[in-house]
Amino acid sequence: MVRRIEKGTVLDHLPAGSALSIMNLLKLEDNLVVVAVNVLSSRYGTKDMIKIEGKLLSKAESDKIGLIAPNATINIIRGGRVMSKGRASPPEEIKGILRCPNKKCITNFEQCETKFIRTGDKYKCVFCESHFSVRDFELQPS
Amino acid sequence: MKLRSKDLISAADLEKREVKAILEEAEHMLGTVRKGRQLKMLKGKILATLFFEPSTRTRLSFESAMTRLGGSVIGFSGTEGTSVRKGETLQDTVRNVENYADGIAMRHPLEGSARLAAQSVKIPVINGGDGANQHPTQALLDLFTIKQEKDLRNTRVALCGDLKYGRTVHSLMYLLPMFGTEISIVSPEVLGMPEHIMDEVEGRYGTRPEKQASLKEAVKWADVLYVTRIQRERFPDPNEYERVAGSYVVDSRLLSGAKKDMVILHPLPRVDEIKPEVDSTPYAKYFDQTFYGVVVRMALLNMLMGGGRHG
Ligand SMILES: [Zn+2]
Repeated sequence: MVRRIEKGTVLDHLPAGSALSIMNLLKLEDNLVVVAVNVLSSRYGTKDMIKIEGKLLSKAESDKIGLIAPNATINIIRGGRVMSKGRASPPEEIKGILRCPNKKCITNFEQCETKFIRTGDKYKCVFCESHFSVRDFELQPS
Repeated sequence: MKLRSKDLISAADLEKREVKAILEEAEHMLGTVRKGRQLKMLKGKILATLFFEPSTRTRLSFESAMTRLGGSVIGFSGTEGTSVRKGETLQDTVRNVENYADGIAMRHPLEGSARLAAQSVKIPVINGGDGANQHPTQALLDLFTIKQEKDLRNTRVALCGDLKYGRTVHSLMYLLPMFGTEISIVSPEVLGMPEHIMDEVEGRYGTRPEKQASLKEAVKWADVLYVTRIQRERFPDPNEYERVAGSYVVDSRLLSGAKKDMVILHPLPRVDEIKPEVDSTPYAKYFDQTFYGVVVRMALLNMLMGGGRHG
C-alpha cells in the first residue's frame, strides 16, 4: 500500500466501512495514515485497510480493534520488516476503556475503572453483572 | 470455615462447598438460638449497617443477627442528614466507616455498588441488595428454608411472578441447581427471566430451566412455589398489568391443584399476590423465612467477621 514503511502498523482484513471508526478510536491525529476502503478480498468480498506510520499499537488499542473487527490482521513493522503478524481477537477482559451501558450501574456515578469479562459472545460488567453485546457499547477514543 | 472472598457480594461468586458450609453453620446457629443461648463469637466487634435505601426487614435482620452473636451495630437507614446528601461518594463513605467498624452490611439503589464498596475497603462487605442486581443473603435464607422443609436434591421449585427484576430469583437460579434441585419458571412475558441468566445456568449445570404455561400448571408440578411481587410500575403499558396481574394471584382455589405437602415461599413484603386466606394453610411458610433469615445472617457474619468457629 503506497510505500514501504520503516516502523508502524498495518491493519488488514477490517470489515468494509469500519476504517473511519477505527481511526477515530485510535486518535490518529499526529500520524501519517494511509487508508484503503472497499478493497477486493478473496476472503471477505471487500475489506478496509489502514497503514499507520510510526505507531506501534498498545495492548489496549489492539483490544479495541478486536472488539469492532474480530478478524482483523495486525502487522507490526520494524526496520522495514513485518516483525509480528497477529490476528485481532475479542479480548477476554476489557479494563477502563468502555463505559457500562447500564444507566443504573455504579460505575456511571463514581470515579472508578470499569471492567468487563467476556462470556461467550457477550461481555459481563463485573460491577452490575449485566451482559452486553459489542454493539451495546459506545466506544470512546483512547 | 472461611469463605474464599473477604466479602459476600453475589450468589454467582459462591462455590458449592461454600454454600454447603454456610447452610451447615446456619443449622448450628438455629440450634443455639432455639436453646436460647447467648453467643459471644463477635463480642467487641462492630457491624455498620449502611442502608442508602431504607429496608426495615433486612436491616433489622442483620442487626438482630449481630446482636445475637454478642457484637454491636452502628449505621444509618436512608441518606437524610448524612454526608451522602452532601455529595460524598460511596467510596469515601465506606473508607470512613472502615475506621469505625469491623464489617459492613449495605443496601444501595445502584447496581454494582456493593462490589465497588468491597474493593475500596479491607473489612468484609455483605451485599444486602444492590438495585435490581443481587441480594445474596435473601437467596441463602430461601435456600435454607427450602432445606428445612424438603430434601434439596430432586425437589421441584417453581419460581413465579417478576423474574426480570426480582433479584432473589436471579440468585436462586445459581444456588438451587448446585444441589440437584429442579427449577421451572412462570411469569408474564414482559417480566421473564433474563436470557443471559438462563444461558449461564445452562452453561454451568447443563440443564435449562423449563417454562410452565401458567401458574396453575406450575402449582401442579411444584414441591415449592416461590412467589414474587408483580409491580405495576414494571409494565410499560398499564393495561397489560391489569390484564396479567390477576392470573398471578395465589388463592385457595388455585391451591386445590397442589400437592398436599407443597410449600409456598415469598421474599416479602407481599401485597396481593398471595391472598390472606392462604396464610393459615399448611402451605404457607413465608413467615418462617424471616426467622431463618436471622440464623443465616448469623452464620455469614461469623464466617466473614469472626473465625468461622462455633463459640
Ligand atoms: Zn455495569
